[in-house]
Amino acid sequence: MMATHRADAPGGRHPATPGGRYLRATAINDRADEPHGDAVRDVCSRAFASVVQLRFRPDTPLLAIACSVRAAAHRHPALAVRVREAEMLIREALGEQVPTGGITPDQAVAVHVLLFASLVDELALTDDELDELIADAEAV
Amino acid sequence: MLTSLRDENRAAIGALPAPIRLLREVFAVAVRRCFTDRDPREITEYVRELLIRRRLPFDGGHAREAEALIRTALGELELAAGIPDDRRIAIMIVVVGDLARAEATGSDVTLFEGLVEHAERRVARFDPQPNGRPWRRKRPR
Repeated sequence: MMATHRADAPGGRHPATPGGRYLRATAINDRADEPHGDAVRDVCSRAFASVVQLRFRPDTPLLAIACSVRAAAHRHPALAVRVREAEMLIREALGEQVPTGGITPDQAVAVHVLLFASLVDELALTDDELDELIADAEAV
Repeated sequence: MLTSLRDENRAAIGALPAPIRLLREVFAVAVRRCFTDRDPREITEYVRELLIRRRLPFDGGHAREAEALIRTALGELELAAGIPDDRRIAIMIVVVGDLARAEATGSDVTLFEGLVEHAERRVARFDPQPNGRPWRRKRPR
């Protein structure tokens, strides 16, 4: 079980790229202009995979995963989250072989950003932990 | 219905609500009898194998839609939102035919007749009558 608060939270590392700053802003419900480009997509994809692996295990029941996707969709009804695609991207990040063909890069990055924010909220990460997660995704 | 299932062609069903309602019930019966006690991840594998056998693309939207429809019949109601009716019907016909042939032996006619009769009984039991529920009808004087 995760401690309610980490006493050794390092602090000090902050998102340093446009993609990282956008992810952070989305996760803390702050305004930010959406950046574009392959580097942004890569950061979003890696941060999404990290938070998915924190939130779920490879054998997590699909109902629990679908429930998280549904919660994200309900929190942002105007964004019309593609629930089937979102679930498959989560399962792919957990190492499953699932049908993800035909999902465009723009659709994927939209799912990555939105689900990242939603799963960070489900995990109740602190700001320092959020920054660490994003900084790790930027550092690869 | 039997012709559509045997020939895997929706033409015989047409676009009328009653046959389409019956097809949904046939699909629900076939799916529940095969998958209710199974891990939903087995559905992903089943759909992949089905599409490969049919020489259809197995890694894209068709596979996601087929899995979503099957899981919807098992209770995940929101998963199939946005799938057009034509696609739903095509998927249901193919899956029903495949599951029925995989689960039993005998001629197609016998298999499908049993399945359709089962579904017809369920529709008759659970769907409201078109002229109101029996207990609301006035008694004849």
